Amino acid sequence: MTGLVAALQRVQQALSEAGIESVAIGALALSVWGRARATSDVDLKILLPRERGAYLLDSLPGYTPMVEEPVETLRRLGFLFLRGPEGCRVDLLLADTAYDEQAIHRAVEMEVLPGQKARVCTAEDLVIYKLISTRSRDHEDAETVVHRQASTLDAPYVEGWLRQFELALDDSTLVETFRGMLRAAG
Amino acid sequence: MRPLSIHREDWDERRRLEAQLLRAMTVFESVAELEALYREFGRHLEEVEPDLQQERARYLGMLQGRLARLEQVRQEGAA
Repeated sequence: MTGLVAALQRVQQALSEAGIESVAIGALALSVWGRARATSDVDLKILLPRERGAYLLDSLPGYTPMVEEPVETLRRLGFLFLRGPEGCRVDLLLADTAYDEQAIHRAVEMEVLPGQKARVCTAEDLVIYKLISTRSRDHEDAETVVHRQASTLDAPYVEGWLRQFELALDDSTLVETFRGMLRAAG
Repeated sequence: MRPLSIHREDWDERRRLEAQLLRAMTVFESVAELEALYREFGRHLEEVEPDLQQERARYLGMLQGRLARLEQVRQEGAA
């Protein structure tokens, strides 16, 4: 069974060769910044216009779409499931908002295992992705990131975006939830 | 029966200890933990993949929708 990091490296390398910027979010980023949890896939945000799904698939020849009409699915939903050559599922999400683009540009390339590098979203952006989710498990994940990275987190950056999401999503709890996590982390 | 405040103190103490352990971990250690979880549970998760995939689709749809909502509000504000 090929490892997740190897699967991530393979798909990031193929995307990079095609000129498509990508960043790991999801469980792998969580294990870098917070606490690992079980997963069966790698999740990436990719910088690509919606109408370029065919180019994306041409750029990943060893990857099999897990849906019929993948180009239309990507255009309509903004995400796509692929099965990688090593058997690992790869979830690709389009980064087609100003916030996503910033998260991609802030991403860091780091050695996540000895001799194995990957491009990963920052701890701040992972916290934001987790806190805007409606899933309680994501808030627990965000808490592990805040607890582990507390003293190094750029809190004004996180709060700035969360304030915008509060207005857009009509949810006034996001900043206070984040501050509560910071307080608990001491 | 123990007062609730003592249970709360136990819980807070446990969270503090967990946070300390997390902060002491290196990136290599925590990513190695992820790989170990994948080796142990990945195949089982793949067995339930049809259910998992539907749940993932709902989840990713929710996440992309909330990101798109902010984008829409920002564009309306800029117009």
